[in-house]
Parts: sequence; structure tokens; C-alpha cells
Amino acid sequence: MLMKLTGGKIYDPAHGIDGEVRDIYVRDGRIVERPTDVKFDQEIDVRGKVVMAGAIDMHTHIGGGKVNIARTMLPEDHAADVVARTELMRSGCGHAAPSTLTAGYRYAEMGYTAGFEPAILPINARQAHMEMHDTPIIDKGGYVMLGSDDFLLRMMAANNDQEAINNYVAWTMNHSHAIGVKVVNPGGINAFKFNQRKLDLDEKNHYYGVTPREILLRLARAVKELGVPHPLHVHGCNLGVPGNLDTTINTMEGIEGLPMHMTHIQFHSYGTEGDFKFSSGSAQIAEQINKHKNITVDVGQILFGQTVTASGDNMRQHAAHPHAHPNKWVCMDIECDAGCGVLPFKYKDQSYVNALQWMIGLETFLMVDDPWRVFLTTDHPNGAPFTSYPHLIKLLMDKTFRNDVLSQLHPEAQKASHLASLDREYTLYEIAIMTRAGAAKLVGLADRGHLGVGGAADITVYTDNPDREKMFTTPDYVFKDGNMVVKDGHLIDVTWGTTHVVKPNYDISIEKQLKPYFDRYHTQKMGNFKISDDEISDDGRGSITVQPLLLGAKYDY
Amino acid sequence: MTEMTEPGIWQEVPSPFCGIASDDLVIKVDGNDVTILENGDDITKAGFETAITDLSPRFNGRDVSLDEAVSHAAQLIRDAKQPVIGGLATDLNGCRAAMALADKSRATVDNMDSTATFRNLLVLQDTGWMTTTLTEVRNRVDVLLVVGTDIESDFPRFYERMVWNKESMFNQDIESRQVIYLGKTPSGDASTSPKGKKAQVLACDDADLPEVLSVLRALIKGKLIQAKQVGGLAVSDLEALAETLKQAKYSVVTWSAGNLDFDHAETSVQMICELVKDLNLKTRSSGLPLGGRDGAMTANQVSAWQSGYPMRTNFSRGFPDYDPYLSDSNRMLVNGEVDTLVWVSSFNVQRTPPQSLAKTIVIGRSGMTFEQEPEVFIPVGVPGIDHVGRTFRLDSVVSIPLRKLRDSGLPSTHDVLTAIENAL
Amino acid sequence: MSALTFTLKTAPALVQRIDCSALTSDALAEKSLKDIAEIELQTGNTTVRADSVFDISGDDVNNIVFVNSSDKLDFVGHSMTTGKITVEGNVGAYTGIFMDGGNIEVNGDTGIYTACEMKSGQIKINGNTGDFVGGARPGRKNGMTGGTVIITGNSGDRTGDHMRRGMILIEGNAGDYCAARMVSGTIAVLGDTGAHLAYAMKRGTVLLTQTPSRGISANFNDCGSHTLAFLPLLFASFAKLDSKFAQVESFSRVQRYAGDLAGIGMGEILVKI
Repeated sequence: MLMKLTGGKIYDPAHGIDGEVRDIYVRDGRIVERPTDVKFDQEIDVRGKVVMAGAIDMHTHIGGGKVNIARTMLPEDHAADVVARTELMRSGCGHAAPSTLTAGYRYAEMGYTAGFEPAILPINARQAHMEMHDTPIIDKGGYVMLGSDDFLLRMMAANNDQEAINNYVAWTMNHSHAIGVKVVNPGGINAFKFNQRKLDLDEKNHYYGVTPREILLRLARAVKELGVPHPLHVHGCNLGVPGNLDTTINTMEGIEGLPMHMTHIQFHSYGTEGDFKFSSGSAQIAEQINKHKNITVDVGQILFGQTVTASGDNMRQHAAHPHAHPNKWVCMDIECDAGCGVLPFKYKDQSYVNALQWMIGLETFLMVDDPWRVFLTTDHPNGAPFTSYPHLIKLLMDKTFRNDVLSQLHPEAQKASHLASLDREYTLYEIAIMTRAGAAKLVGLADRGHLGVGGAADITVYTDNPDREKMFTTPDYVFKDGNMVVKDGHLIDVTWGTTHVVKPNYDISIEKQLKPYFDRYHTQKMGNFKISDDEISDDGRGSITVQPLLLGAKYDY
Repeated sequence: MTEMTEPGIWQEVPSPFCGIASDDLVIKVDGNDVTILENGDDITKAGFETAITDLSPRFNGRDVSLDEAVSHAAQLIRDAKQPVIGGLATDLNGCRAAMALADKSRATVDNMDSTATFRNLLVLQDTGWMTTTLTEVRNRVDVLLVVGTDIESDFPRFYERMVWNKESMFNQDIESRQVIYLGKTPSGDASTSPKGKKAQVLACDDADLPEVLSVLRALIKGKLIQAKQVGGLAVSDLEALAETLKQAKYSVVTWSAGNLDFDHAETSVQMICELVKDLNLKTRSSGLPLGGRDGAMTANQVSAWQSGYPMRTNFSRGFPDYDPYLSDSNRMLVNGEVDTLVWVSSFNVQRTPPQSLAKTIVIGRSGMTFEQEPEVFIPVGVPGIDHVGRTFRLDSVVSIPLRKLRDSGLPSTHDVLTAIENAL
Repeated sequence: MSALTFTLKTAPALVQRIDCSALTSDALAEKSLKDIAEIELQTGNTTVRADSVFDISGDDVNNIVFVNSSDKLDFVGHSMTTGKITVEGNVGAYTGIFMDGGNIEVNGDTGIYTACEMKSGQIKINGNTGDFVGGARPGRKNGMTGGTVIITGNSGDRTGDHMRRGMILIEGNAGDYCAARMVSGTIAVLGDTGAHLAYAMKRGTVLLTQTPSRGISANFNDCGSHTLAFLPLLFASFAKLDSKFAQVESFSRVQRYAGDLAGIGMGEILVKI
């Protein structure tokens, strides 16, 4: 099947293409050179339209135990947003915590072709993959959580060498089928089980005597030495605590130049100034990001309305429980591995704190210079459901609109923010970096996020509408692996994406330690903990795509 | 990993039958005969060793081919105005196929153990909870409070694996663990420590348990209770219990919703969960809901991520609609509202469909017998014996990979339900 | 003008339940008899025309009557704000759900969730009710937030569960878990109350004219006898109601019990002295 997209304005930052008019050729799911045989099976006129690669959401809670707890807990969220069955689509529902089927359809209709679950507990990876398997169209993958698990912490307490830690990390990644490594409140989830209620960067976990800083260094080093493209993905200490901007800055400096991605940085950018003892730290944080080229961030923008916060950070979620709205919540301690916390939450524009949070997120976007190192997320659903991305893009691209919305918010919060004075408007090219080229590079997807020859034909075509929210809500076309799946914002075909993983090398002799460890302490055998490839491909709909490791990776067994 | 270490002998076999999902079974397979050699108990023995009988599907009692049976089933479902896909005791892919079929045929989905499960689900949906999982219990519990439940009759290996294990990750003195029963009295000795320390028992009837729990929660909060007695228990004994829980470092409060077998028991479960939250203001404590046999966890998990809702969800209007009362399949069947019932039961031959006026299609484990022959019977294999699969453990977070141990030729629930969906 | 009457056909007997939410004064305003006959009502997994299950006659959309009613008719009075609905016979679940005005009178028994999340108006049941009168649907925090429910017979279990405001008056006996998880509002009972009275009650008032046969549970403390000035005012407000409550002789001396002590304990059970 040979297809030609004629005359579109191409935004392909991976190849430096900024709005040039070019044709794109697709054959068998890949982007190919201009072919010599000019007989096209399909030719689509996209003159005047904006063409980008399919968008990539590098941090979205789409699968796993805590997401399903959120769904089960919130029948009222679903009843208000039901989706009827059609010839093509299964029925579903949900606003903040949609069904997996609905989530996949909506992502595709919005021009997204990949989503990554950022907090996969190794012991729950099986479920995360089950849910992602039932998420149609988009490609998927995830980052596996370490840092509060007993095995790592006892290795660190025993001062095991870095190679041993690297082996364990690689082993975990392989058997959880992950593409990255996540750490949430390093050591903090674990400390909470020992009744520690907070854990600062240089504070020791009571039982292991290990600090978050040490955990971060060990894991960041492991990720680098293993050649995993995605930097250590860090949900830092003290999420949501006023004054945590210092912790965040110390964390960035403390990683000693190793690549590190700090996620939903907005929640970690708070000062304590003013009458409300809650102020914006975005300027200082942005300065640090600009200074330290080894740091990347995603914002975790909040938007007003009802949503649900679902996180691995049971320590902070438990502390936040008085703010749950409606008043119901879950906290779990999980398998001496990690934990989770689910709190429904409503962000109100007339709340000083929520209004300022909104401003902090936008300030951060606008003050970070390098669009290759800042990423567009709402930490779905923690800040807002992913369906709000087009609205967020409009806020970034349209200063007048942004300031109009700003002027309606809590007046004291407006005074506490300098957002109104930030004139910057994101360009289409920069949006394409943040949601395509940069995201693919960050996650380690060699053949996605760009429109160059050899890339997968995940392509989104938009009408160039000055109302950017309308534009990004309703793409004209979305192609997934060369198949047209969306036309005029509506799904016309359902396909099933692949699961992207990396396979860092490890020394299998680590199983000599792990097997007896599981036997002695765990309630599942090591062998049954491991997830086979068959489980991912399953009934044939699924597949595994192994992405390359970075060259110069230290280990080659 | 479940593997055959010598011909016919499988190691590390996981059990999908009770909620604990022990996976240290050693099993011998000879043709279609399956025998547990090591680590079995009453539940896993019944699960693994029940013999295959029927291999042929039946229509109105007559042997027919699988295709014919599928075709008849599809006809019954197509004609139905209130189809129910019930039982739903099966593995991940069986549940997936059931959900797809329900969506297409505008049916209601329910699981055979929903009466019990909903005592927990309604609490999750109203106020939530703080809970823990089995490995945490095994390594951390210092005080185990067992509410209204006799653990060992439904979970024979619970104490062996989760409480009286040899050692803990944190070098805890296992013998120092305290076990306290509030409500039912233990039926056996499983709760007695290795050195012979018996569980403390504060016995009361189910009828009194709600108020006993309410008083306990009030005492944990430091409230003054005028009454001296509640449910036959001295309030001073409950005061001592409250103190024990407050002094514990990681108490685990456990219950089996199936054992709290009285009307509106969810309000008692809620009281348990709220008192656990109160304990966490100062120390650490977690709830542990026991349950999940015969695939109940799996059905609810799959339904929640595919439709947004757990069991008792109907697709009558073309979209998922959740009503634990009107879509309670037991109620619907008793009230004569169901015309076609698809009963899925692939783990336990005893779990046959309830008697009703509905035309019944049974997708059941081979070995099942009926007082009243269903319109259609399709014998299927057991996940974890006849085909690979995955099921969820009772603590909802952990799931287990099930293997294929023999070649009986029996189809899987997934394949049969998918064929029926395609034939619609 | 004669009442718009829906007479349930006797044959064929109902098998599946019927969703009657489209048959209210609000929803039928401006509709002709022909329009009404054509309304599709959800039953099981399909819909049927209203005139295939009901014989329809009359023209006064503000005065609707269901004749030969059945306990399989659900959602009668759904979201109504005006008009009167009379039900002759038993009726099913969710009678008066989301009601915000108008009047429902049932001459028979009701199923579960009568007055579910009701906001205002009046429902009178000349018979017994099912469970969860004035309750909230699963997952929702507030049930009834206003209006009055009068029950001449007995109420089922969990009466007033998650009730937030409004009045439930029971002339007969209340079932088990009466006022359980009540958020606020008033429930008054002339007869006896069942087991687990006011379990997990947060706030609100349960007014009893006789001591419960089971006594008061240990999760409530006895606050002694009181003379409460608001009670005569409450009884005065009953005077206009079509209920035995209008004949009850006003009193102000009560024994007051506070609980559920497990929670914030601001609920009160008042028992006439």
C-alpha cells in the first residue's frame, strides 16, 4: 500500500523542518523516500494543512492497579460521561478515569499515537500491561518503579557495588517489560510503612539508613551505565509541600550531572511567601533547568475542575487526604515493593492555592528556554484529564487568551504571579518538539516522533486554525502505522499498537540471589513474578518493539 | 516459574482457586490425571484433582458439536431481552471475552460471589480505605485482628504463609505476633503460634458485630462510652483491644466479606475501614480484605478497566450502566426478569447456575453435573490446568501466570465466548 | 380536563422492568396523546412504545395517574418539578428520584430508593416502602436534600441513608439501620425501629414517640432529659400534612441520645418522655 500526503506544511523538529511544504510517502506502515513507481494506492491532498508526527504522551496514568482503583471508586465520574457503543467502538465511559477502551479512542481522535504509563510497580506490571493491551490504537509502554523496594534498599544499606545495582535494575526492566525506570518519593513510600511521615532529600530512612539523595544517585547511575535512553524519571521528595522548591533545586544539583527527568515539576515548585504561605518558585526552578542541561522536566499542569489524583506516593497522598473531594480515598502498601494513593480532587479557580498552581505550571512552560527539555503533561489524571491538552496548548500559544483566563482567577493569586508579564507564545514548531520530537527522544523511541524516512507512519494532520484549542481537538487525519484511523476528528478504524521496551543487558547470576530472596520473603515465586513475552503479545493483538540502547552502554554480557 | 523439572512433574504451580494464589505446588500430570504431590490443601486438591468427564457440548441434553452448541447459544442470546452473563468465574481472557459479548448483546454482567464482594466495593466507592498486600503482612504484621471471620476454613494456608512464616524481611520476632479474633471463634489451630500461643478471642454474634465495631472505633478515638457491655463483650475488653492496636507498629485488620454474611454488612466493613484510617493518624495499620476465590477479583478488575465499573453493570442502553441493586443477577433471576442466562464457571464443578426460569447456557468446567439440564452446556478447560491464563490474587494488585499442564482438548472460556460473540 | 391515565395492560404480564422516567408532567408538557403513545420506554435491553404497555387516556398532563401499577415500574416521577403523580398499586424502584417539586402519592408499596436524592416536593406512600428511602446512589455522598416523605405503613431498611436535609415521616415501623449514615435532616417514627438504629449517623435528628423495643445501642450516649423548644414548632409544621403526624399531640420533653460515637457523634435520637 503506497500512500502520498501531498503539499502539507511539515513540522518535523527531529529533522529541523519548520513549516516547509513537502510531500510524505508511506509504504507498509513506514515513511519512505519518494518512490520511483508513481502509482499511488492513495493520495491525500493536505495542502495548507499542518502535518506532524503522531503525538506522544510521555507521562500518563493509563494502566495499572491504582488507575483501576480510581475507576472503581468513582461511579459518579463515569455516569456523567458515557460513551455509547458504535459499529466500530466498544462502549465505555469516564471523565477523569475513563475505561481503557475509551481512553485509547480519545487519544487517537486527538492525534496521539503513543502513551506511557509512568509508574509501574514491578509486582503490578502484569496488570499494567493487561490494561494497556486493552487500550486501542496507541502504542504504549511504561517506566518501572524502584527506590522503595526492599531488595534495592538492602543492597544500598549493605553498600553493594554499582554493578550489582545495575544488574538488579536491568533484570527488573527486562522482566517488567519497561522502557524506563521511575522513582517516586525515593525511599519515602518505604519509610511511610515504618511510620515516617516525611522524608527530605538528605534524611535517612529509619530502617535502612539510606537517604533519597543516595537512592537517586545509584539509580541514575544505573540507568546511564545500562544505556537506557530514558533518563531516571523522578517524582521528587515533598510533593505538594509549600517550600519544596528548595528540595527540588537540591535534587537537581545533587544528581551530579547525570541525566535526570523530574516529573510534574509544577507540584515541586512551591515557596512559602505571602499571607497564604504559598508562593511560586517557578522562576528559580526554571533557572535551574536552563542552567543544568542534564535535566529534563514535564510540567504536570493543573486545570480547573474535578479529577482524581492517582500516585505511587502513598506518604504524600495520605498526608493530603483531608483535601480529598469528594471525601473518599485509598492508600495501599504493596508487597514490600512500593505503594499507591488515590484521592479524588477538585481544582477551583477561586482557590488561592489552586489558582496559583495553574499559574506556576504556565510560568514554568514559558520560562524554560529549551523546548527539547520541557514536556507537555497534566500528569493525567492528577492535574487534569488528558482530553484537556488542546486547551493547554491554546494557553501556551495564545497570550491574549491566557491572560483573559488569568484575569478571572483568584485576585490574590494573580498578584503572587508574574504570569501576566510573560509575553512568550509557543510556536507550532515548539509544540511539535514538546509533544513529538522531544518526547520520542526522551523516551528512547528511535522510529517515532518524526517524519523522516524509516520512521513509523504515525502521522497527524491538522487544519491550521488560529483557535489552537479547536485545531488540536479535531485533527483532519490521524495515521497509525500507515493506516488512516481518524478522519475529521472521528475514529474510522481500530488498530492495536505495540509495546515499546528496552532490554538492557544483565548478568543472570543475579537470579542466584533473587530466587532465594523471593522464596524466603515474598508470597510469589521469582519465576512467576517474571512476565513472559507471550503475555504481552497475548491473543495476537499485542507485540513488543525493542528500542535500541544508547551506544557506549557499559554492559554487554 | 512453573516448569516441568522431570517428565510429568511440574514445580511452582500457582493455584487460581482460592484468593491467596499459593504458587509453590508440586503437581504430577499423567495424561488427563492431575495429582498434587506437595503443598496442597482441601481447596487446591479439589481444584486440581477433580476429573474431566464430559468432552462433548450438549443442546437440550443431546451431544452436539461445538459449532452447533455455539450457534444455539448465540440464538438464545440474540433473542434475549434481558440476557445476563453470570457466574463469571474464569480467567483474564475469559472475562475479556465475556465483557465483549455483554457489550455486543446488551447484557448484564455479574459474578457469582458479588453478594460478598459488594460488601467491600460499596465501601470503596463511598469512603475508600487503607489496605495492604500479602507480602507486607508476611513481613510486617505485629498484631492481626480478625473480624467476623474464620480464616482457615476458606484460606487453609493463610497462617502458614502469611503469619507463622519462618522469618521476616525485617528480622521481626515472629513468635511475638499477636492474633486476636473479634466475632467468630477460630475453627481450628492454624492461628496458634509455633510455640503454642493461642489467639485471643472476643466472641460475639454477627447481629452484634456492627455495634461492637462502632464502639471499638469510638474507643480508638478516645471517646467516653457509657455502656459497660456491647454484644456480650465488656467495653473494657474493647478498650484494651483499642490500646493494643494503637501501640502496634503495623496492625493488620482482616475480614472476609463472604463470612460477614448478614444484610447491610457493608456498613460494618465501612466501620472497620474507618477505624483503620483513625489508627493511621498516629501509627501504621492496614486493612486486608480476604476473598477473591473462583476469579471474583479478576471479573471485577477487567470489568472496571474495560467499562469503568465493576460487576452488576448492564449494557442494556448501549453503554455501561451500573446498578448494584437492579443489576444484581440473583435478584433478577429470582424475580423472573432474565430470559437468557450465560453461566460461566470454569474453576469449580460445584458452582452450577442457580435454578430459575431463564434459559441457561452453561460454559462450565468439565465434570459439572446438573439437577436441571441447561439448554446448552459447553464443557471447558480449567485455566491453569487445560490452558494458559492469568488471574488476580485476593489483594487485587498481584496477578499470577497460569500454565497449561495437560492436553485435554477442552476449549477455553475465552474461545467459546468469542465464538458465540462472532456468531451473534 | 381529566387525569392523564396510564393503565398497565394486564396481558402480557410484565417480565422485564420498565423505565417510566419519561412519564412526568415536565417531560410530557406540550405533548399530544399521539406523541405520548409513541414515547419509547426502556425495558430490558430494548425499548417499547408507551402504548404497548399502557392504555393511555385523559389529557391533564399536570395530573398523571398510573392504574394497575406494578413493582416493575421504575423511575416514576424522575426529576419532576411540577404536577401530581398518583400510583394505584405497587410501584418499583427509584420513585421520585431527583424530584424537585410537585407531588407523588402511591396507594401501594414501593421498591428500593424511594425519594433517592430528592430535592423538594412531597411523596406520600399509603403502604410500605423498600430499602434506602431518601438515600444516595452508590458513590454519591448526599441523598435526599429537601422535601417531605410520608409513609403510612412501614419503611424498609436503611431509611435515610446519606440523607442530607428534608423530612421522612413514618407512621408505622422503621426497618433495620434506620438513619444509618445520616448526614442531616429529620426522621420521625410513630412505630418501632429495627436493629442498628442510627448506625454511623453523622448529624440529624431521629424523633421517636416510643422507646425502641431493642433499646438504644452502646454507640450512643445518654445525654439526659431535655425540653426542646424546636419540637412544638416541628409539630406545628406537621399540622398541614395529610398524615397521622398532623394528629400527634405536640410534646417537648425528650430523652436525648448522641452518636454515633464512632464518628463525629452529632446525631441525636430523641425519645418522647
